[in-house]
Amino acid sequence: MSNTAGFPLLSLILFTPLAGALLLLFMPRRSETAIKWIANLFTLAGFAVSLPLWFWYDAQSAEYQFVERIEWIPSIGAQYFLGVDGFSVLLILLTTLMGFIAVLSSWTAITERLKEYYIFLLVLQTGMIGAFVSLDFLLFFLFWEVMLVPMYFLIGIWGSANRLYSAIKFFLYTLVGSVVMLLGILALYFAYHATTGQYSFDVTLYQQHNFAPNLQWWVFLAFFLGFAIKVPMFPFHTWLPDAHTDAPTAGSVILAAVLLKMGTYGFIRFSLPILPEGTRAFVPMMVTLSIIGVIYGALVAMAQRDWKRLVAYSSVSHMAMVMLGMFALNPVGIMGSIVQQLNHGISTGALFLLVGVMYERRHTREISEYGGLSKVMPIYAAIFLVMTMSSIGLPTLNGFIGELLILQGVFAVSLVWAGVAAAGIVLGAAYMLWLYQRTMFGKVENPKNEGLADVGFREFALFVPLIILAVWIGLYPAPFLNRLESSVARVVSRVSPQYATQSQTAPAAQGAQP
Amino acid sequence: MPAGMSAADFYYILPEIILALGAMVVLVADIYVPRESRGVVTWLSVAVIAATVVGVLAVGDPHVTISRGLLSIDAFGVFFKLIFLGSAALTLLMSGPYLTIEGTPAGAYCFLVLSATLGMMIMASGIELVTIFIGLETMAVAFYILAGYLKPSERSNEAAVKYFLLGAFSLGILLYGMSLLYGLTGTTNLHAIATAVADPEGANRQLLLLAVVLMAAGVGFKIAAVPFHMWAPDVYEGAPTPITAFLSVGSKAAAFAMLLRIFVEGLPAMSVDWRLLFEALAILTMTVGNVAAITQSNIKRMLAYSSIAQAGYVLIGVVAGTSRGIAATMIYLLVYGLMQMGAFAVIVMLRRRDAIGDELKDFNGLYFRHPVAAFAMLIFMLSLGGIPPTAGFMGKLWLFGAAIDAGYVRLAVIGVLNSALSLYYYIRVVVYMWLKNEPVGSEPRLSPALALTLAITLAGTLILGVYPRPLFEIAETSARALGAVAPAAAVK
Repeated sequence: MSNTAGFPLLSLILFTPLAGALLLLFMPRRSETAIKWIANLFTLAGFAVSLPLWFWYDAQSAEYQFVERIEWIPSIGAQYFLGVDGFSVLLILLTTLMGFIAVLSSWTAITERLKEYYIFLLVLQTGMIGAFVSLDFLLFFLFWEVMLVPMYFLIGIWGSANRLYSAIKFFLYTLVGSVVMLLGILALYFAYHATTGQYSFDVTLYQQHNFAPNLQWWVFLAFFLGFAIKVPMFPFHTWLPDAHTDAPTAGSVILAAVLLKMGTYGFIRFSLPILPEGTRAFVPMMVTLSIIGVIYGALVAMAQRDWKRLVAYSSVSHMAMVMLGMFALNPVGIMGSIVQQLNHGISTGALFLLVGVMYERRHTREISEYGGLSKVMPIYAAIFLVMTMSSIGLPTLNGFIGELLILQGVFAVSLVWAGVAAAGIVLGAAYMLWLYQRTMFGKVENPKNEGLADVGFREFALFVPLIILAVWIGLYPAPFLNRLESSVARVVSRVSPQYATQSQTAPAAQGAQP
Repeated sequence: MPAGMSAADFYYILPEIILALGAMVVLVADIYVPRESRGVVTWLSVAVIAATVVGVLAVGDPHVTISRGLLSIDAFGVFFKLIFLGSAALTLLMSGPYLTIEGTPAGAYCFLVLSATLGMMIMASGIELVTIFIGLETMAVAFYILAGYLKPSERSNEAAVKYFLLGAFSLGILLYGMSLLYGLTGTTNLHAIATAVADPEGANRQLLLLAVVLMAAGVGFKIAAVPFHMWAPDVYEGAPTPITAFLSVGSKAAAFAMLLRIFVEGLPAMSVDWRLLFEALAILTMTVGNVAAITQSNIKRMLAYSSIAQAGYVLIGVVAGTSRGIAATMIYLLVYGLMQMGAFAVIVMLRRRDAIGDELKDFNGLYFRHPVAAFAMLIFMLSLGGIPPTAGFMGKLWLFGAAIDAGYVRLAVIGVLNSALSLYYYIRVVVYMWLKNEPVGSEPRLSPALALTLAITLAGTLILGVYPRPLFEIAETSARALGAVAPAAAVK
């Protein structure tokens, strides 16, 4: 493991947003324009400094890259240990991009307590990036918890009607999960010490260590609670619709695009490779919960009258699909699961932005308030169309690639699972298209909708990168799949060694290209 | 020169001597200082504490037993003494403006705070039952008076009477346990007791067990462990706010020092019994404290229940009993001292001539009135709840880690679930401060002394949350001075 960049690139990416937050702390409250500019510039800079990861990352190497390792608390073996593989590179890029988009989308939407708003967003950004780059379990947990408080405030201060309730619900749910996860981490830590005589929170060491099966079983359950609440998996999903509905647009975007990925990231980075036997033991439970999630999320989404709540429930369904692919435990399934995580970030993030654009104009999210918008706001309708298609997995757009890989992986394991997954996709198409039809088509019946302005330049700019990414992944996913290959191989070699020799991902990657 | 004391012994108790003499100087100085510059007395007391700290550090860690086995001058004691002195200094810093508002003289007050600290220091170094008891009495008597220091306030008077009656009662129980132990072993020196008890043919087990239970009950009162906690909410609510802080930090830490000395150093042979006892106490204390705190609307009362729950967490370290567990206990007590003192400093800040400022609704919109105080309180609440990157998280990490390491996984599970529960009420304070938009009351102002208190506690809470390395290393070294009991079992 080494750092080919020659300078602490990951630390730079990690602390750029925090530096922005610190700078904002000393800004006078009244200079609102300056505050907005600083926040935007720092998140843009954050994205810019993360771009080298895409170019400098060596997809051929199976090692963690851009590694930084400094003693932190030597007496307990905790280190400031950062490093990335293809999986985290893509998630970091998603985070920095969505972070910038979220900040930019707040330009006119947020009008009070601007300074704190941007500080919280920037701190949240550092927390999320930190969780993706940490290879020390304690450090990871620290960043994991750091995300909690800013998000709590974003919902609680700048949210809509039911914000206090939703914020505390989000907070307590996530917190319960993470404290139990902490116990799991400590159990591993002491078990590792018991067998090797060494105190260490080093994740890379854990990934090579064979923990006792009995311990794996318990720790898997502990991690499951932490990660499954974040994902969120059925039946731990109830915080999500509330949090999403009441969060401000930027909060929803970050929540959907990045925060939910914390759960799936946790499973792939920690549960699967560190606890392979525990993972295999829990496949039936995980698959059952995922299947319920896919169908249940879709059905509930279909019944929603609130636009944002519908998208929130679609998230539950989509993330359950991600989990299903992951627990096929074969290379294609895991690859599909990761790709679909990116896709979900792009398309659901965009869908929340779209709701936000409309909410800023009409201050209502009731679907029945809308109708015929394609005549009033044609550009908006076009963007919405692209993102709807991306979400339901239309070929040539990103969603198709992810769903195809997941189905392929799941199919190899069980025909029944694949059937249910396919049914979920159909249901997904149903509720999304129905939403589109109800809001965009028909006559403009509500007079309030008649004079609505179409998306402006700033708003349009928010969607451009997302549309580009959706098309890019849809048409030419190979650069993404290549970067993921070694990460997937590492996970698979631990959790399903029987696949390790044969590479199934390569033909899948080619097969996915139209 | 008294029999059994040598000149070297006086050198080793130099810090205590400085503190005792300094306390008297403060008492006398109060008479001669003109009424309008009474603030000088407070600062003089802080100077006495500073001098004592220098003394403690100068004597350092010779690890010797002095005065025929009355006191042990070791790293364990030094660690606790610094906690006591630090919390006393913070108490005094936040007392100045508070006493002015309450309109009570400072002289005797400062003297009593210093005496209580002296008592605590003796408790932490004493390795002999009578010496420990004398330290405890010195501390307790000072606190009885301090709790009732606000003469015109009914609440304060009630607090003092309650504290005195229950305190005296608990001391009686403790003393009874100690006398049983003396009767059974023929000695009051903890090391000699340890040897005597270790002999399986020796003392009567049943009576020993009774002694353990009685002493645990006595100490339980002092640390406000459930079911001996009844006094705490009333006393904490009624006592002057800085004294509440001191009581919940200093006195609690001293009681834990005493507890560790008596049980780990004196009764390791009985560890099976007292571990079981303290495990039950820990579970009860955490759970009852947290559940009761949820329903409180007075913040001092809420923090009283919270501090009961916090004592429950600390007990986890005692139950673990290993070197790691003792280090965790010490780390957490220090960390807890910082965040608890900080939280009380914010409450003191809200005390105005026209408002008591300790109801939850007094925090309404604090953010709009004083963002710095609201931010500080946010950090203290998160830290008390154990959210990183604060010192409270690092402390809990050690406690729960020690429990798992020593085989008490169940205790750790209950502990983390409790800390999740506790966040419900800590966050409620944050909701009042940050999310409620109707600011009430006057603009709170930050006096220099309070600002200093807040700065120290806030910096400590944040720095130890991100870089706890020095604290961890010092605590580990200090814990080793005490010895330890073996882990209970392998990880289940």
